[in-house]
Amino acid sequence: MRYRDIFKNGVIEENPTFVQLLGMCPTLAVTTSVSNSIGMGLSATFVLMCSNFVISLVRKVIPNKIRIAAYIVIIATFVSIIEMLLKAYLPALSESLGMFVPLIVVNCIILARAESFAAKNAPLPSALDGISMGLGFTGALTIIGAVRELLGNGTILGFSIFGASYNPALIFILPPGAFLVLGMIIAVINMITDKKNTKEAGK
Amino acid sequence: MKENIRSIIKTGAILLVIGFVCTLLLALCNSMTKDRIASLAASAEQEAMSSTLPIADKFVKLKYDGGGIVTAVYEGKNEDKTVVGHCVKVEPIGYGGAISMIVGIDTDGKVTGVDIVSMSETPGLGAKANEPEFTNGFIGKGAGIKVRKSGAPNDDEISAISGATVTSKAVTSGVNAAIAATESLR
Repeated sequence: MRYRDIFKNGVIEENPTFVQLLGMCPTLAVTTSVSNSIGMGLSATFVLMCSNFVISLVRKVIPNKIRIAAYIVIIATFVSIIEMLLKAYLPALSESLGMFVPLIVVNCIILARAESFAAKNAPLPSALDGISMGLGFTGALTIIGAVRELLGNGTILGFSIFGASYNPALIFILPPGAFLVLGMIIAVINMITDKKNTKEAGK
Repeated sequence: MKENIRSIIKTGAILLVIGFVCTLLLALCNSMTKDRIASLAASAEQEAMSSTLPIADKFVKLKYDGGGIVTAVYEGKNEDKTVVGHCVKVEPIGYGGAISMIVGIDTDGKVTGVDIVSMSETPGLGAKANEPEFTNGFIGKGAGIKVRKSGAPNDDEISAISGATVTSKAVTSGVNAAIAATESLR
């Protein structure tokens, strides 16, 4: 039961992007297409899972004073390993993600989960928390990426949806489009949660 | 005071151990992947060169120190070991940073192909620069190519990608620099 709660918490209730508003930089920067969003999300998920697991393993050995420094070194190590492995074995994916892979180090979701979850919990729940938060992040990026790619380029995953006659609203794949789409999606989510809350309060 | 010093040393030692283990892991991973990454990069470059200068089947790096945005010049040879053209690596600055590209040029100084190896241009706009629709426009052109924003291009002009004039100009300046570099070799 507890594992189910951790999963639901990461993906929906405390969704890192739409609810906690963490990791806004990659959210705004890479969501120009669905394939970029998924690639970024899954790479971050992998780092989150590994770093949460290892940090949880060593949490009792690391003194409080140097914990942030230690966490960053561990996270950076995993990111570098993944970058090397991607370059050597999946060069096509590595090419399309480009500089966003090394930038996972500074994704604040990863440090936030290390601080607030992995530092206080056992390795297995921590790894699961990493996976759930990562999937929540991936899902959020994919939704934003889908809206932006569809409106701004008329395609989803490179396939034309509206046909050649569609004149794409370029602004959606330019930086302002990221803010517009993110803002609107959060507004809709808040509307739904507000409604749900008042309904529950009325009971 | 003594306790304090002891705790400082202990904290430092723990950080040292973490750093040591992480460096060891990275070194291990690097030695496992570095040959593969290097050979992949080399074969990707070979592939890009043969796609821009299809008549050549062997490429030899030349010494070039002309500077500017030209980073490397290769001589393309055919089976009889005669020089049939050059491949020039150039890195003009586009809208989102450097655009790394290879330009193939035959012995008459005419472009035989353009291939963009890596860039960070805006997807859907500048990133269209690597589509054949744009790069094929350079084929057969000589020195002094200009960018045309609208209307039908003349013989020495190339149609800009709509909404990406900066990228179009950058790629064109790269091609022009490549032609100039091969002219200086002759």
